[in-house]
Amino acid sequence: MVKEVEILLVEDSEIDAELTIWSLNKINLGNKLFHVKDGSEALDFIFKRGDFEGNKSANPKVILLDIKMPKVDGLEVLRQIKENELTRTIPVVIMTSSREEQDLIKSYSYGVNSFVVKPVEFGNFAKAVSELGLYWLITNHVPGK
Amino acid sequence: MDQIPKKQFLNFIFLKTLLVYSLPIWFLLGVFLLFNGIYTELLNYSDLTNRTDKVYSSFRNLGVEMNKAATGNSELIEDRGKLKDLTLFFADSQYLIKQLELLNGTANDTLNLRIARQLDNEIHAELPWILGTKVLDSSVQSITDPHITALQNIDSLINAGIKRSSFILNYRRKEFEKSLWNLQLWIIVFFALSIILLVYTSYHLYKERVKTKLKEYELGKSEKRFRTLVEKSTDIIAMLDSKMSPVYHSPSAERFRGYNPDEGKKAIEMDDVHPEDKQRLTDVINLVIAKPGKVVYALFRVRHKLGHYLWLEGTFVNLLQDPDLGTIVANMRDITERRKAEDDLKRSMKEISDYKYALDESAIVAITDQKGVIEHVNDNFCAISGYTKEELIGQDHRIINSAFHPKEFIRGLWKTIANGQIWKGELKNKAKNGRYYWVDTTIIPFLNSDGKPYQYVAIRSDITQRKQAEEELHQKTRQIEDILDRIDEGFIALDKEFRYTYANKRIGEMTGREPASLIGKNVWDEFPEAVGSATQKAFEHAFNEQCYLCDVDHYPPLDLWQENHIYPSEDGIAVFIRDISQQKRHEQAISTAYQRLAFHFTNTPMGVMEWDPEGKVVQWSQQAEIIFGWKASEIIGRNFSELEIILPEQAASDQQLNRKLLNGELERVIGSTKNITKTGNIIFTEWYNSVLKDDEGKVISIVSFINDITVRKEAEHLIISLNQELENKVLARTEQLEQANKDLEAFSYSVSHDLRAPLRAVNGFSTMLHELYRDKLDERAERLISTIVSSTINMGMLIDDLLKFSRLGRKELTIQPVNMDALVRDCLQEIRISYPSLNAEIGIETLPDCLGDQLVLRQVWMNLIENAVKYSSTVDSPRIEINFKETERTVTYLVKDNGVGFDMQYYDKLFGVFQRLHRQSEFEGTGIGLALIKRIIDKHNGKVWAEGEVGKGATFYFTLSKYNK
Repeated sequence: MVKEVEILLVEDSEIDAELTIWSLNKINLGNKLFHVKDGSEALDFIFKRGDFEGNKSANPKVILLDIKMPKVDGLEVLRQIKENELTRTIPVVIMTSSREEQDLIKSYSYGVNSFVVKPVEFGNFAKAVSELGLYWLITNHVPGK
Repeated sequence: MDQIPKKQFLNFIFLKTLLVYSLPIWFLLGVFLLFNGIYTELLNYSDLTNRTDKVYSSFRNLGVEMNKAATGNSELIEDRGKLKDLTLFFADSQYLIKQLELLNGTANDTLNLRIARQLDNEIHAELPWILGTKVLDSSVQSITDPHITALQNIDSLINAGIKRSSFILNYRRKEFEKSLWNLQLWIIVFFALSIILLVYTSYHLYKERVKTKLKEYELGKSEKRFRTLVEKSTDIIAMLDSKMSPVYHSPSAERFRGYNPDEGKKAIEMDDVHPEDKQRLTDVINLVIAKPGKVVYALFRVRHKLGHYLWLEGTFVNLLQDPDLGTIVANMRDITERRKAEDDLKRSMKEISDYKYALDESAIVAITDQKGVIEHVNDNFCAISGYTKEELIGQDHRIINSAFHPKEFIRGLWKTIANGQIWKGELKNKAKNGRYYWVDTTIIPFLNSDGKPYQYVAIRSDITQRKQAEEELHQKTRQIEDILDRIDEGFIALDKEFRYTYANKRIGEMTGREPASLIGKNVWDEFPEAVGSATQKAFEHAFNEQCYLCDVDHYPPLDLWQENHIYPSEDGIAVFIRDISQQKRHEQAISTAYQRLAFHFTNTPMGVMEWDPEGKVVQWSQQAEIIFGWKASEIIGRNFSELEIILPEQAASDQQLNRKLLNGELERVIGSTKNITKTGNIIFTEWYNSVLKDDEGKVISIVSFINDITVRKEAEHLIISLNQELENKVLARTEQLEQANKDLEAFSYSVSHDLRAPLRAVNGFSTMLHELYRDKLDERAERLISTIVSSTINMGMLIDDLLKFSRLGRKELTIQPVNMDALVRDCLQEIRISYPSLNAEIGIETLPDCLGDQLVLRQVWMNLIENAVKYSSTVDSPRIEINFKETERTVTYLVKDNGVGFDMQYYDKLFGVFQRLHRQSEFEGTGIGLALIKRIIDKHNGKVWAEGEVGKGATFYFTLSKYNK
């Protein structure tokens, strides 16, 4: 298992995941990222279930969460994280392809920490991802364990 | 001047004149003497000078001669050196002698005489030597001293003589010149004085002359004036001598007696005096003669040219002793007219006095001053009033005031007489003992020269008895009139000629005429429209036949219906007239109302039926016959309850409603029901039932209006079923639409995700490709990759816009007041950030608020301003103007730029989706922006439009509801 996970990327699209990792690698944050392919996997990771029983990095510094995913979608993942006392403090950033009003409303009602629309242009995309990484990993502080 | 006595004054004048005139004579005399003295002195000086001149010449000549003699003397010539001190030379002894004699004869002063005498001696002594001796050179030395000394002596004597006479001559000449100069001075002085004297004398003379002339003129004028005065005077002025013969008389003395002054002087003589006055005049004349200076009055008559006598009045004054006049002055005036007037006055006074006596005897007379205070009353006044004169005088008429007459009446009296007019009337007065009496009164105001009354004379006669009789009659008449006035019928009395002798008050009301104004007038003259009427016939018939008649007639001019009761008598007729117009009009109104009702009943499109409280049908209209098929004859008289038109199941409820109407629970009943026609058809009807009541509220009948609504009912049923069908259809359609909307929503949702993800992949991996294989890519590959990248960006934008556009279609607007000004300024700020190179000049007015959805309106402004920025970025000095126009309810915002503009030919495409008027390479864009704006504004029920021209810019407008605070 990964020794130290600081960013949990929940993304069903391999392509988007690759683009994200590429962007984070550029600022040397790629190696602290763990990628899960859908919502249920993400929940397993966080709540140390199934494959991830005994996961020691269940509390990453930030979760980058896609909305549209098979099985369990991003909003459901967000809801469960924010409802749970143990995981509530983990910053969750929703990263989605388009700005959909209802998604925004729901996300914020569940207690999302940030809502980012993935730009089409890769330059901007890379910039957004790296800024996110830097912010949540270095600038931001959460109640410590 | 008056104080100085005349003689003294004249002497003064004489002396003054004498002095003035003798002055030049004295002066000239003085001057003559002065000149004479100076002249004598001059002559004297001249003589002396001549003589001295001769002496001087003699000495000179003697000197010359002596010199000549000496020159000729050989002795002396031989040795001139010896004679250097000698200037004397001798020539002719004869001449010398002669000169000496001359000198002796002429020398005129002591010194010169002595010199001359010594010379004579010396020269005579030396002469033989000088002339006779021929002296040689050698002998010169022998010249003895005595000669030389003698010569020297002579020489010095001559010199002394010359010197002396020269001195004297000079002195004389100076003296002479001095005298001459004095003379000249005197002449000048004389000349000046003469001129002054001349001027003075002339002036004095002139002044005297002017004074004299002026006096003469003044005297002449004054005399003329007096003469004119006397001659033009109407008074007779005459001057008489001691025998009373006229020395002078004014022309009036002739004129007043009818003589023309041209006829020659016609003095008044004793024969002209009236025989009766002759003696008196003689006495007067004697008195005048006897008493000089006394003014004596005279009055006498003289004959006129035509024979009658004229009265003369005047005075005589004896001024015979007056040195200036020396006559008797008579001053007379013709007073004939005055005497005549006086006589007339006397006669008038007598007449007046007689009148006054007559008046006092016959009438009651009182005189008051202008304030009404009694100044005089006659005996009659005292007798009737019971007061004495003493009690009345000084009082005013209130003392006999009966308080019977109203104040206005008394005031009118005073107003009349105070205006200087005579007042006449009958007055009721009160005597001292309280008895009332009536007087017929005339008050005459006496006016002063200003036309203001200063006195009133009241003449009265006692009319008490007449008044009392009148009063009684009047009262009786009034009683009757009162009765007649009170009755509600008109009453007139006509004489035989049908003239009004009486008309009561009611007649006045009927005819609109004052009853009194009718009295004495013929009834047919007054009401000519009644001539030929039934009334006229009735009047005449009743009078002629002497029988009572009654007729009813209408008099159109007054719209008066009258009922006449005619009572004849031998003197005429008496008529009681009853006004029955009201009654007649009611009858007519009822008749009209009935006709109108019948018309409505017949012509109303509803069926009308009426039944009495017992339920018996009394009316059944024509329309009711048509609706139900039953004829009126078949229905009327039958009871409502047994009619076949009512459905059996309805009958009970209908009965109940009718009962409610009858007992007053309901005023009217409106309802619809089904009925049966005679032929058995069921019809739909509407009923309007109401109760007809009399004035006491008692039910007369129930009236029903019935409408056949069968056709309408059927149509309504049809409409209802159609509506139901339509509603079902709408529901189904709505459902479909909702489904479509949901699908669309799902579609855009997935589009937003599913389309963007691959785009991002294409873009991302192209970029990564480029980064990873930069070294291995040639220029062409680079261009290809960059095209891929930019295409994905464009497509991304397209998808975004499309999503916005479709999302807006679903979105419900939140309409609320929007602060447009703040919104636009915020947009501008954002645009400035996103377009750092923005160089357009942006002008913005303070925009008014509107009503709308702020979020979407922001989109509108962003799009419009971005467009303006974009399309004006290629011109030299881009300018964007944001402005507005407003009406009471709306506000139109506009964004104007001076950019490339557009061709109005393609205006239709301007607001279409994916429609662009420019190529992508010219201006970037998706072609959604304006479509989006249109959609937003349309959703606001607003209006959006644009104006533009290629190369000259474009203006975009949109209108929204104004927000009025």
